[in-house]
Amino acid sequence: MTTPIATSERKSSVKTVRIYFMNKAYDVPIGLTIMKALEYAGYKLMRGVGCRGGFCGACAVAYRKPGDYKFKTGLACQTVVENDMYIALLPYSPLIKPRYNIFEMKPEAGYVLKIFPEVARCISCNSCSKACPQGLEVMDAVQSVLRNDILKAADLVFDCISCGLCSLRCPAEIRHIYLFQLLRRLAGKYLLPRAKHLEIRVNEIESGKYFAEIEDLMKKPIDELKKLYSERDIEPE
Amino acid sequence: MEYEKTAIAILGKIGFKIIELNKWYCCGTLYSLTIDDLSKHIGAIRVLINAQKESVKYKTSELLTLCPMCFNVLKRVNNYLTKYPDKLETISRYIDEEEPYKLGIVVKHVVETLVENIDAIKKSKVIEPGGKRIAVYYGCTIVRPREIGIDNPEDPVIIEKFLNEIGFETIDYPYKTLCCGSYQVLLDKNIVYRNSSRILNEIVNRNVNLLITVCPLCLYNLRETVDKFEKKIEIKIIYLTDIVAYVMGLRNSIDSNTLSFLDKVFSSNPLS
Repeated sequence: MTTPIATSERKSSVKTVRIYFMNKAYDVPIGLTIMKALEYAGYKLMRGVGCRGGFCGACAVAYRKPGDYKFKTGLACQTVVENDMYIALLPYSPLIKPRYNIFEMKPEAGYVLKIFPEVARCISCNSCSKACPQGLEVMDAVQSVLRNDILKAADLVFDCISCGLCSLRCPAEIRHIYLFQLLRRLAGKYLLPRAKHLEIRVNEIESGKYFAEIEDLMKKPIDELKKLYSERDIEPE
Repeated sequence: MEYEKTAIAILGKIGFKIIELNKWYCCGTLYSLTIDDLSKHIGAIRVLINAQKESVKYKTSELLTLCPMCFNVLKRVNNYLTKYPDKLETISRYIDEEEPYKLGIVVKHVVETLVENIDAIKKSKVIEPGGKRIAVYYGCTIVRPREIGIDNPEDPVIIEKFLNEIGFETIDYPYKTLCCGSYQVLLDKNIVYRNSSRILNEIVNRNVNLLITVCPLCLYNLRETVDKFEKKIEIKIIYLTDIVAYVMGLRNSIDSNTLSFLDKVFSSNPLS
């Protein structure tokens, strides 16, 4: 963006941009993320802030920029402020969480549609994919459910961070977050190969293989624990 | 599944290579008649765009459909966009993440493709139908509305002619285009039972016990209705492609239930 930088009221040599948040203008240093800019402006974020690394999905944000008619979305911790940006935090999307028993289900579209009938309302507008800060093919996942390809759908949404932006944009009122959670559960339980090493390890733990070792560790003085920790085996990456 | 398997087997046998679109979306099932809401056409347009993308790779512009509803919606949307270029432009601007649709795709129903290739099908026949009697049920959406229909909407005969050529005898009856009840099965099954039982009665009264259709929903509704008769009726409802695959000897493609039924029919009495 090459727009001239707004005049800062602060007497500082730092270049600033003007942003609008809750209909109020703030001049904030150039190069900050939306999250840091709001904190700079004096807001204390108690909710809607998490990992600050773009991976927890807590800080969904919507914004507009001058000269662009599009309504944009992203994560507050990943999106850099620009001059004359209008911002709203959307840290939570109101979606009713369904309850179901996965043991009584099969990985088939019929079972999914029973819990999420709104999936059949998808008109392929792709607003969901456009809103996704992870760049997932959200619409394709929804449509894969209608094609009864649960494995494909689950695979497409493996990297979903449940920020809820897709659901806020969806004209079919689909509850993507919970739908995708169910798809991953169905795929994990019924479609993907079992992780044999995990089963073996769980059995080992349950049969008490490591009890003695833990008991032994619990009794050790803190200095020895520190030494053991720093000398532990680390698997090569 | 049975419909798809037999259709692909037949077309494969006579030299077609059928490629499923890499991506496809729900067409919407019903063509939207709302004139000021283009969003209802988006699903179908995305299918056409994906067909366009793959048409370059595979050097064909024909988009084959099995489901009459998909055929109906895709073809009508295709016609609509051809007729109203301004609407195509509006929608292309909305779907700006995709390449624009250039109107080159030809939407075809499998019946059309079968009829066009009747000679090849006759050549690959391994079983003689020997004049076995069949009733044909068209349903609605491959013949209506007239602009997109594959035959006369009031009295279609395209499938009968095709079957006669192969060696079957077909019967004439008045309800071959009467609606089976369609998606009303979700709201009020009695509508389906009422319509479908009228259709089935007419056929059974003519001493025919094999009915072929080309629509998965018609097939479902008719089969559901068979069980609702107070006095048990003897009629089997299968896809057109099942019976064609059977006479072409493509046994592996046919659903086991249908196959054993057809085996019985062809080994003993004619279908009358």
